[in-house]
Amino acid sequence: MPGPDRPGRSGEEGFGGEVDPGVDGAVDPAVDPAAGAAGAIAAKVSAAPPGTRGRVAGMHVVDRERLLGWLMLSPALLYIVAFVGVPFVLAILLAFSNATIGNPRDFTFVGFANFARVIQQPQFLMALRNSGIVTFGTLAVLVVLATAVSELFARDFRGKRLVQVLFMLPWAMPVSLGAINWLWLLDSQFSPIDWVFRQIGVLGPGGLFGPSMHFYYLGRADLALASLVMVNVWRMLPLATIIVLAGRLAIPKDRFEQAEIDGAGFWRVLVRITVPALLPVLVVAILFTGLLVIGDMATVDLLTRGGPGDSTQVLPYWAFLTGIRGGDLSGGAAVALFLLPVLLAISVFVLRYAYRSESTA
Amino acid sequence: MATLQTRGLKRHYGKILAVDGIDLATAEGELLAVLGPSGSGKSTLMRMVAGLEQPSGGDILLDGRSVVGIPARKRNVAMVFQSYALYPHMSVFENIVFPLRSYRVPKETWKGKVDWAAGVLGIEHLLQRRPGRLSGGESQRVALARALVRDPEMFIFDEPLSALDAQVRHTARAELRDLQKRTQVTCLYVTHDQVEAMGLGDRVAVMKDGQLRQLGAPRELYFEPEDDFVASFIGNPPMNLLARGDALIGIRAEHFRLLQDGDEPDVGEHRFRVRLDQLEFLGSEWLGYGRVADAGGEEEAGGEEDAGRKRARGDGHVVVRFGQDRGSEVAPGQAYDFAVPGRHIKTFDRSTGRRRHAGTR
Repeated sequence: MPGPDRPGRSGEEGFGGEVDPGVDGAVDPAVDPAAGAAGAIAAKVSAAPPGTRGRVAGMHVVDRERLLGWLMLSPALLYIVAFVGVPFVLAILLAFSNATIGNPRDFTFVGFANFARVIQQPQFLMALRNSGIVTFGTLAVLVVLATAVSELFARDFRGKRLVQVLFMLPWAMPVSLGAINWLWLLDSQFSPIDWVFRQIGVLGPGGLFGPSMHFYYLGRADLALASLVMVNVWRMLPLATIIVLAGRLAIPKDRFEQAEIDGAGFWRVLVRITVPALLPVLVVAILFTGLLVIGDMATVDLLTRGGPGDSTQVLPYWAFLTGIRGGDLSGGAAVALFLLPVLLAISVFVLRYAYRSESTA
Repeated sequence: MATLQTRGLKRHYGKILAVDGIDLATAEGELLAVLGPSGSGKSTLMRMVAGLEQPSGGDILLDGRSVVGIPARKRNVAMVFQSYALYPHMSVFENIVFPLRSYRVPKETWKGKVDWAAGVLGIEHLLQRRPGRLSGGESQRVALARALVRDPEMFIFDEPLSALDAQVRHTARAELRDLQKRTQVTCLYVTHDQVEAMGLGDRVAVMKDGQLRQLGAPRELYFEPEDDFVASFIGNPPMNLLARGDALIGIRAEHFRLLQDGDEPDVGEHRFRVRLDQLEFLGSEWLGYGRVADAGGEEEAGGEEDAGRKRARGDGHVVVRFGQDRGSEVAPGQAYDFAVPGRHIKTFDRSTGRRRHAGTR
C-alpha cells in the first residue's frame, strides 16, 4: 500500500473527522484509503454543486441512507476490526498453536494442549480463585456504594456540583497516578492508614491487632487481596455510580412521594421502591464494571505484581506474565481466553435480562 | 373523617411567594375543589396539606390538630397523583396492600380490605395484573383503591382526571363523586379545569397568585363572583366585562335577551347594542361574538395596562348566548339590541377588581 493518501485528508475532515485521532498513526495505510474515499464523496456532498458524480439513480449520496449509513460507520468499524477483531482472532489462533515469542509464526495446530498445560500449573488455580475473589468482592462493595452515592446525588444539597466533580476524579485519573497514592497509603513502613490506626490505639503494642506497628497491607495475602478490592472499588465507583444514578434519576419523583404518603419510611422506600426500580441498571453496572475488573491487570501490576508469591495473581496478569514476559505466546493466549466462554455467556444472559426488564417496566 | 383548616398558610421559594396566606376550612365529608390557573399556588397548597412540603408560615390543622412538622407518612392523608404513581414492579394487589404494609396493619386483614376496596372500585378482576397492562381508567381506579384501602382521614386528588381520554373523563368524574359521597371522606380536589371543579366540588376555592380569591359553592362563584378574576375564570364562556367609568360591569352571556325590532327593555332592564362579528353553533346553543357599540367607558389614557389585559377588562368585546331557536334569527355583521336585567349586572372596581355590592354603587 502506498503511503498515507494525503489528498484524502481534506475530505476526511469534511467528513467530520470520524476517524479516531488515536488510530491515525498506527493504521494509516489501512484506514486512510477508505476514509479518503468516503471523505472524497463527503467532500463532494458539501462542496460540489449537485452534479454528475455522487449521484446514483438520480439520488444524492446524502439521500441514500443505507449507503450513507455505511460510510459513516466505516471508520468505527475499521477501528473495531483492527484493534478488537484482529487481536481476538490472533489470540484464538495462538491459543491453539505452538507459537512462542521466539517463533511467533508457528501456527501448528495443537488442539487443547495449551489449555491442558496451563491448567496444570499451580498458579492457574490461584489466579482463577483470586480473579473470582477480587471481582466478586469489588462488585459486592460497588453495588452497595454506588446505590448509596446515587441516593445521595439524587437529593439536593449545598455544594453538590463540587462534590460530584471531586467524586468523578478517580475515573479521570490515570491508574498509574492513582497507584502511586495507593502505594504510599498502603506502604509497609510509612502507611498513613497505619498511623491513624496507631493513633486510635488498635495497632501497635497493646492494640487490638497485636504488638505489630504495621499492617503490611501488600505483604500479606489476605490484606493484599483486600487492598486490590479497595483500589478497584476506588477506580470503578465513578462509572458504577454514573450508571446507577442515571437509573435513579429516571424514576419518577411521584413514586417516592406516593410511597411516603403511603406511609413508607426511608428503608422501606429504598428496599421496596428504589432498589426494584434500579435492578436493571444495577445489572448493567455490574456487567460493565465486572468486565473491566476481571480483565484488568494494571492494578495488580502496579500494587503487588501478583505477590507476595503468587497470592494475588489474577488471570489477566498471569496471562501477560506467561505470554509476554515468559515468551510462551500460546500459553498466555490460552490463559487469556480461558474465561471467555464464561464471560460471554454471562454477558448475553445479563444483557437479555436488562433489555427485558427495560421493556416490561 | 376529618376536617381541614389552614390559617394564614404561606410558602415561599426564595423571593417568590407561591402561597400567600391562605385561610380555608372544610366541612366534614366535604369535597372542596381548589381551582386555579397554573402557577396559582394550588399545587403547593396541596403538597403542604399532604406533608410533602413544609409551610414557611401559618398553620395546617387536621381535625383541629396542627400537622405542621409531621411528615407525610404520619398524617394519614391519602393522595392520588396526577400520574397515579402506581408501583410498576408490583401487582395491583401488592400496590393496594402497600399502605397497609407500611402502616403495619395486621396481615390477616389485608385480603379483606383489598377485596373491599377493589369491590368499591370494580377492579377485582385486575388484582393480579401489573400496572403496565392497565388502561388509564383502570390505573386511576387502582390508585383510588390504594388511597381508599387505608381508611384515610382525608383524600387529596391532584388533577386525577387530566390523564384520561375525553370520553372516559365524564364517567370517571361521576364515579369519583359517587365514591366520595359513599365514603364520606373529606376531600381536597385540585384542578385547573373549572368544569371539573364546578361539577365535583361541594364548594370551590379559587386561587390566583398564591391567594384565595373566593371560596364558595359553584353557584355562588358563577352568579356572584367576588372579583373580576373569578368572573372571567369561572364559566364557559367567561363573564363579559365592560368598562363603565371607574367600574367594570360583568354580565353572563346568557343574560343578554335579544330585543325584537321596536321592543323596549322592561322596567329594571338595561339596553345594550351589540354588533355581532361571528356566530358559533354549539348544538344546544349559539354563541355570538361581538362588540358593544356604546362601550361607554372612556378610553384609558396613557395605557397603564397592557393590551391583553385591557382587552380582557372591558374594551367592549362580548359573548352573548342565544337559545337554539333564536340563533338562526341573527346574522354576523348586524347590530342588535339586547336587554339585560339590572340584577344580572355585577359591578367591579376597575382598579382593584373587587366586587362593589349594591349600595356602594
